Amino acid sequence: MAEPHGALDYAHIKCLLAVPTEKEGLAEDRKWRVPHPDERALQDLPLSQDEIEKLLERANSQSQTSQTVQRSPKAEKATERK
Amino acid sequence: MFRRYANSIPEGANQLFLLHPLELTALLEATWRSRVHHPKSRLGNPDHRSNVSSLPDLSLDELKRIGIGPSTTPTPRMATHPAAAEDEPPALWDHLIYAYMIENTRIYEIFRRVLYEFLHGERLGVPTAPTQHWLRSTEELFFRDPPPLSLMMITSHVRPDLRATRRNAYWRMFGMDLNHGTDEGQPYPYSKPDAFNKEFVTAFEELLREAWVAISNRKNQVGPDPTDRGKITDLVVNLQNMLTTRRSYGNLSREEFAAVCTMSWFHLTVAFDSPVVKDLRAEASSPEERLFKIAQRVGLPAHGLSKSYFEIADLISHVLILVEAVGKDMVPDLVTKGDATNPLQTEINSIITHWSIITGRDMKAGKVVTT
Repeated sequence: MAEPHGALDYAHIKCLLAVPTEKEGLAEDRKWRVPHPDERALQDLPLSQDEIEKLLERANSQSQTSQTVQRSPKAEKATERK
Repeated sequence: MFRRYANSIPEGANQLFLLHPLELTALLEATWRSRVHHPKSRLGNPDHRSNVSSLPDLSLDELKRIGIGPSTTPTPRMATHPAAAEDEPPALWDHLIYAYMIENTRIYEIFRRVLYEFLHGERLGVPTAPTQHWLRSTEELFFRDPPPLSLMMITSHVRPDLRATRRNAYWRMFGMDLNHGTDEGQPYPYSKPDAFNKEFVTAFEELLREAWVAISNRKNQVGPDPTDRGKITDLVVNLQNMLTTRRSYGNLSREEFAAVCTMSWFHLTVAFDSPVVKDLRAEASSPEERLFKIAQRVGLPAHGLSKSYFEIADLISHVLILVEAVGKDMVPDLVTKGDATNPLQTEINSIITHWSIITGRDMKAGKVVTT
């Protein structure tokens, strides 16, 4: 009795083994995700974009706090005089 | 496999050559993990090649994060290995015969010399930056031990020679050795076990002859039809039994994967005017012409019939996988009648042509029986 086989038939085999040529690239659904060297260089940064944004936000808020603290009563008076 | 990772030529291929060797290794591991996997099919069949696992997710997750893996575009679903991610489409690699055909061009030995020259001096000139990437990856992936625990790791203290391991696999599966020995013209030393498919060539050539009879009689509606469907079925089943016996329980799957991946890297390198081809001033319009020029530069001739080896490699890979996967169920397509040949018949026809060129035995001529 023949061995039961899965879903592989000739069309599937050809589809799965398709290769690009100089004239024609692979179909979209057969393309592999391969990192672009430039994108990878960005990925090499120690921080992700989210982390960078969080840090920027935190830095901004700290900066505002710092400015508030640094404005001494003397400076406030000087501003009022102006 | 590397030709598939390229997605397009030349842009995709040039991009691929710039990747880090570890990323290339990760691609191979991801391929293995998303292999077609039907657990109910016999272990070793094309849809259930192996139960050996790839690197654990722990190692692959970081590489997946940077965008390595099969396409996530929806594709007709097929069962893949349970370890594969839900969005990974199934992967299949070429049959070992692909590696056998490509290696017969002597491409591996020729590029071994290219590496030697580039890494030891400037006789071939100074490699440009893209070629430096290619050199690094080629040396790391194919001319030294792969990373420990990698699928590509098919060398050890027990079998230290990668080339001998490949030849051993060719011998066991097809009963054939490569057409070249060592660079000094001596037979290449490797282990030839007793269990090998001694009758593969005889059965395959008989199938090609019978297939040619069927194809050449596809329009025959009136005269006697010499197509022997029964014999074709018998030959296909015989080949299926031979090949799947060698693959029992997934045997030789890793060796096949490693050999196929290795040869596809070099095949891709000569598939277009790649950076290393340009640096070697070997630009040409076809893979074999590029290889001939490179061979000339390093003083090691490529096989004169390289064109046929390149042409037949993919086609014969498709057909042998089909033989293993469906066996006699492929016969109706093979003997089908009609004005035009169907895709399978077209591929078989090309195989007949190139096999005849390579072996010097005309598959379109009737078999001569000596009495």
